[in-house]
Amino acid sequence: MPRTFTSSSARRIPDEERELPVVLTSNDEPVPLGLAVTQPENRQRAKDAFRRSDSDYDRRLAIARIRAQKDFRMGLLGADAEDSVITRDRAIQEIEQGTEIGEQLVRMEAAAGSVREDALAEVARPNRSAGLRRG
Amino acid sequence: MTDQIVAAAADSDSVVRTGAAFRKKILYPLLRRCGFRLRVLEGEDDQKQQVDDAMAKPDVRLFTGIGHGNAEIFTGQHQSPIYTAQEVGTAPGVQGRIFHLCSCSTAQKLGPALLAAGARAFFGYASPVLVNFDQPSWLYGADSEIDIALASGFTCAEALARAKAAFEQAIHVAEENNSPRGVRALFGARVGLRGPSALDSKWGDPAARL
Repeated sequence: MPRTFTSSSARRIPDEERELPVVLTSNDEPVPLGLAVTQPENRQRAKDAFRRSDSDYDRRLAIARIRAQKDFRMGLLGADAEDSVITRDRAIQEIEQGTEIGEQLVRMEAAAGSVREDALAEVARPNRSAGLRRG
Repeated sequence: MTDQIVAAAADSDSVVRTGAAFRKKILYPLLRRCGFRLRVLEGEDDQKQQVDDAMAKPDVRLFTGIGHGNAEIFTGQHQSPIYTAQEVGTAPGVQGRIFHLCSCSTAQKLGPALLAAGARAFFGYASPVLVNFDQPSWLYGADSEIDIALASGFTCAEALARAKAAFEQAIHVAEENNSPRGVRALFGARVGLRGPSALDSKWGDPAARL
């Protein structure tokens, strides 16, 4: 079976160089996810914020994450749009207006974030190595 | 001997142009290498009349297209309607054919309408499809796995599974390449992808092959 893409040429990016999604603290302050899970004070604030997860929080989180991304610009295969390019301002507008595109952007931000959250939470788990040694 | 696959690709704006270019460079040669005869309708040829004429040929088994769409419409060049949920019942060449639409949201109404009109199977997306401009080939590559798998002899259910696996692999590649927007675009498409499976025959015959 021929493959249409490959990961063989991908450069391994160190975690500190990665563009990570942000999370919102209990004061709606955007904090890079890496700091949120590796610094104790931010970790607790991020945990508090995660506990209030609801659709309104998801929308605000998506907007914060889109604002934090460099050069946000995406294409859209939709027939209704006057312009098939989604800029940062338009993405935020779509989310605020609750359109189908906006809801999809919220889902995408939530899903993309969860992968990194799972991975980083695992890396940052306190006493992980000590626990392994005990085992 | 007439064409077996009708491939339509709009290229009238920057978003669909990247998809059309990918298909021309990667997908169509692979389908031909698998032994299938293609009728490619690109650019200004991607219009309803040309599609209807091509689909009316007796040997056609698959329509695969990239273009703009919404719940009820799949469009060609300059967003001119190719298939609409309201009129697809009278469109020629729907009965018994497999449809794969790479566009926004057509699984909501157009896909079910195609199946109600006699299509054998439908692959498409239930939500908006967003494309990462930096690496559009990740998404188009994973989406093309549907056609490649079908042309390689797999069933529709197997083609869906292989496409989902291709999306997972592409997400991994996007992660490795530090592309948050790539990850997001692929996640969105992966979640929205619909097609026949053993658990969900709503999208046609999971055992169908080209």
